[in-house]
Amino acid sequence: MIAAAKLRRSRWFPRLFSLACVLIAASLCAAAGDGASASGPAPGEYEIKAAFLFNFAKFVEWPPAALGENEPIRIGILGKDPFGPDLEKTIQGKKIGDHPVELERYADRLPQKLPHVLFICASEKKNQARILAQTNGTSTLTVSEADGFCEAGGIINFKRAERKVRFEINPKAGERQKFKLSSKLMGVALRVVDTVSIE
Amino acid sequence: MSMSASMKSKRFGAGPLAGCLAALTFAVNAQDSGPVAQGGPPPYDLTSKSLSELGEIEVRTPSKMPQRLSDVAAAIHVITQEDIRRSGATSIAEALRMAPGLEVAQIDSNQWAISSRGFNDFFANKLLVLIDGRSVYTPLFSGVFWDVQDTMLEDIEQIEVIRGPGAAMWGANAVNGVINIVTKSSAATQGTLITGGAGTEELGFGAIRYGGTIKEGLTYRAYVKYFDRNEFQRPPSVGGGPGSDEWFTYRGGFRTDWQISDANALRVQGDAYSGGIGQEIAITAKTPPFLPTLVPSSGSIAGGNLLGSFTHTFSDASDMTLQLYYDRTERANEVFREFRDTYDVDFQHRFGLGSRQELIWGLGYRLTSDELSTGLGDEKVLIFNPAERNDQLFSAFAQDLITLHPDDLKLAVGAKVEHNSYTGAEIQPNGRLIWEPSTNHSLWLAVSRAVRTPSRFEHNIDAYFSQAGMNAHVLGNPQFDSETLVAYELGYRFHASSRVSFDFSLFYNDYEDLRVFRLVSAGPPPAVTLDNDMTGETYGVEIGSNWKATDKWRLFAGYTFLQMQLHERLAATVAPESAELENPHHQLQLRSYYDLPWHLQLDGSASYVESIAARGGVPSYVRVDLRLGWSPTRNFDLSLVGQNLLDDRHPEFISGALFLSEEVERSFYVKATWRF
Repeated sequence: MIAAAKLRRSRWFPRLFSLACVLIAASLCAAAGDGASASGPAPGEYEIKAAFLFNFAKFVEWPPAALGENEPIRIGILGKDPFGPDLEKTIQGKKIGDHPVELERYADRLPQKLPHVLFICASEKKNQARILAQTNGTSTLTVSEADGFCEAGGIINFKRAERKVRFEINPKAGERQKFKLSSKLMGVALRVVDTVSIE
Repeated sequence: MSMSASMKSKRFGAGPLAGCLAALTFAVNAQDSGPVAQGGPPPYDLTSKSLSELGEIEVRTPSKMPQRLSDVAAAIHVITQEDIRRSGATSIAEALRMAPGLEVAQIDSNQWAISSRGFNDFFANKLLVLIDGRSVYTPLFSGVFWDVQDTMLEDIEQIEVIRGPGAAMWGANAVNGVINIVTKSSAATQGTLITGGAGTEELGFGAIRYGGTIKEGLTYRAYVKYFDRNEFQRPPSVGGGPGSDEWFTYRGGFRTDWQISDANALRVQGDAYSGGIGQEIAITAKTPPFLPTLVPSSGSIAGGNLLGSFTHTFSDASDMTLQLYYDRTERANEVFREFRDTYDVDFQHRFGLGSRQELIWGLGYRLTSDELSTGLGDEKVLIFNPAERNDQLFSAFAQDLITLHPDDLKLAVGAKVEHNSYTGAEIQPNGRLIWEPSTNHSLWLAVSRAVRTPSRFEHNIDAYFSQAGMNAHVLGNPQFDSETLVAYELGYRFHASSRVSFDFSLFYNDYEDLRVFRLVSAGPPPAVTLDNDMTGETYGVEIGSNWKATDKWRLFAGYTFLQMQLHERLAATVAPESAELENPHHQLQLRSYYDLPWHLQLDGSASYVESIAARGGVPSYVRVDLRLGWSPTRNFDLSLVGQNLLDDRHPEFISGALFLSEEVERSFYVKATWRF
């Protein structure tokens, strides 16, 4: 039959295979050993959002009345927290200038002393107007991830652009607050929302 | 000759297996004490990046395989969980009707003939099927026992149907297609699900699944299910009346997914089942005049499997996976009994090479050990010689994905080399080119070689059965060689808008060394053996189109054309394979998914299958299935399903197997599902 030309019942293959297995064992050990130096897998959506949230604070200049020397910058999460441990991991042991960063979580009610950065979770969308009325004119930077947040008077809203995390910004809403928002943010934003919504 | 070779290669077997096991042990141990432990600092600091840099980072898509270029540059159709749910399908085999290019024909209540691009039969042997990475084709006849391929249908994430050869990646038997059944991660199946129902063919079915979390990143689920199906109708040619093909199965299983750390993940899963299938078996007398008689037989099916898979991720572009599994199957009927144990180790590593190349390579080892004997009855009409056999399969593959021109032109070249105990080494290369001039258009080309390696049946059978109208003594041929294919494929995908898309593929397959039955002595009874004495060409067209007519109405249309031309080399071939006549030239399907007000859904499908000439013929038929679903809350839904609505009975296939093919009946069932 025509199979005569084919390599048949050879012995080289099993031997080569054994050799390859030994090589794999070695490479697995090596790989496992240097796991720490590897750059790791791509970050998850909320790892990226946590880093954004931390970095936004770098673009806000709070007056001394709102943020004293060495006073911590407080990041508050309102509603059902989607970050898991990512936010803790991100801010752990980090400072912005000489301000340490602290995390606070609120179930459904804002505290008397508002945080510097407030992340309003998607679970609170129905209370959005009430929350924004409460933060309007204060020194709180409002961030959310709900469609129409900026149009409703929120300052920064996360927006997915396919596999990337981007954000939209409403500078007019920022101007009403008791802080200075860097214009650099507008340059990086996916979209700048111009409408002003006055409560 | 073949046996001594397989004995020899057995001596080499222990080495590689032990090596791989050692590798796993090392890897796991090293990871346990390794620095990448859970709760540690993230591998790199995102806060040090600028806002614009952050905006450019791609988000990891959770628990999803990186898209394989070899799939994109292939005729792939994906059946989603939504498709399965809304089709009313009650088995994996039935769900496959939704894929264009496949021929799915039900033979009786518990058996199917399923193939892609021709050569369909109960014994269809050119399709490779995997469930969560576990190969479920049987080395007994290189086909699939569809009666035992099942799981909670609600837990299936998707079924990928790849038409055409996938041998360069998946290995021998991925000749005409690969079906990948992928279940959801246990993180996606949390909570309790209870489902149950009954109907005219579905005498009763029910399932319970519970999914929970042990700690963050460590989730599990477990399920049990049961079903009992009614028999179909016997064809009028044997007197009609109810058949003997009832079917029931108890099944249970689990899956755990553990994200040990950012870089390491472990998955362990398993199933066990036991059931019964009824058949009417044609037993050919061993004495003159060698006439077959139909004997009702209650068969038993049982089995189980356990699979572990460890993945280490180096980066978005690089990871490796080590997978081990054990699978046991047992089946017995009046004339035949099979026990089979399969052990499999598989390793894969993917990494980038420069900015333009991505390499995937892997190694595999499989040991399958069987025990084949006569069945529960006294007749020794179906035996295998030898009765027990251990077969080893060694495999290695490498595939390089090369970006020829950024964004729009990519090439994949690769090959799989295997060594099996029937034919020795087999080389299966392929080359695939994809051109995406814009995001709406893509054009791909592929050339591949694939082989279908011999099975236990072709080498070792010693049986009396009716083949092509002759009652013959069929003897295996230990010199039977692999069937080979060189396939040429062309495909085009077009996303006309966000609502309309087309998928078009063309193929030309060139086969050599196809199987024939050859007369060796005139008898009586005539003696027949198997040989590689046929060549053939097949070609065809497959079209699929999605149309989202409105936000509430979605349509899918599919068309399949197939032409087969087979040529026996020797005139002495007394029982030419009728494969040419076993496959419909034209198949057409239309599916509709409609969301009605009041939480109602009305879904339907109509399919036309052209007549088949082989074995007395099956007339063309139109099959219409309808489903009315009602989901008053998110936690509860009710559905009413009608299948084969247009006529009270018709045959879909006349099988060349040893059991009687029955006629499919019109049927109805209701089903309720709670989630909490």
